[in-house]
Amino acid sequence: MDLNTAVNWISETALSGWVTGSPWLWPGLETLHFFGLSVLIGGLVIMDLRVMGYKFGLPLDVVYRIMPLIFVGFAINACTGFLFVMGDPHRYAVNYAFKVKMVLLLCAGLNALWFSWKISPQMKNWTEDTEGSCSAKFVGAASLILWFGVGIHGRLITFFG
Amino acid sequence: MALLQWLEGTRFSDWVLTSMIGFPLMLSLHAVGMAISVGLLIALNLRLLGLFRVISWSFMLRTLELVWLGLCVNFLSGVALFLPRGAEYVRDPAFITKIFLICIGVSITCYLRKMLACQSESWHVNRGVPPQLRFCAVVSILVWFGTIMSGRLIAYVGSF
Repeated sequence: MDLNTAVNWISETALSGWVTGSPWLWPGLETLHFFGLSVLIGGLVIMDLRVMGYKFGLPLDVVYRIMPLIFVGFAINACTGFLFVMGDPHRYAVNYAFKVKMVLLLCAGLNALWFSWKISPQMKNWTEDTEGSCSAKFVGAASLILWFGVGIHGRLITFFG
Repeated sequence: MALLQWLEGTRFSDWVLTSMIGFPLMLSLHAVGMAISVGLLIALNLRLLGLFRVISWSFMLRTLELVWLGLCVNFLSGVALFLPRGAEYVRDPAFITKIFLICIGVSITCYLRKMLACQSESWHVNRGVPPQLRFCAVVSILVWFGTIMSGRLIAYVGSF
């Protein structure tokens, strides 16, 4: 099945019709998507700065305690984002900014996997005063840069179709 | 009104509206500033409501510096987005609602900052965060959500 067939099939589903059917739903989903982005970034700023070794008096534990907030933000945006693509697949299939956004999202996901496989086990041996390893600093910085990139390219979808 | 119309005709307004990068750049900055300031304020308000107790009040006070930075970015990018269409925006109910909500949200944030700075020491020993501050935290979350919603609706006014 090529992209065109998939796009046509999606646009004929009942879900697609539902998303585009009500004039209020799309702006409502956008509001939730922006709110979810804020929740995600707010949590990430706290977590990544701590992973990078900026302590600000924060215990190491904050990294794990703040994670649920990040997951909530991501879940809101994964759901609303999925509905956007279902609602208007023709637009996203050809949108340059959307493609870049998806690549950045994939990189951010791989970076998160790297964190859980390599960095998180290291952190078990850290004390509150440990100056994080270079790889921890890199993963933290990459996370912030990639997620801000995801947000910015999402905003640019309107302009670079 | 004449002033707003004059501002719409300036070269800066023209640059924002017609150049390749003006409008996308300002909107991107507006989204980044929003994510930083609203995101950290959500974390602060949830902390006031009893979540993330691992985070100290002194850290929350420091995050407010980043919140102000985000709000400054959004004020400046917001002015840049406003100037080319000022005369239209001042009559737009979504825009008026947004500005009104921002004023409330910033006032609450100033109040919470003051309370954090002078009272938070005693919250450990007493019964925790006073009820009126918890109430402010709930209102703050709703107000910032409303700000995002009304901001988003500015793009749609006239199309319903």
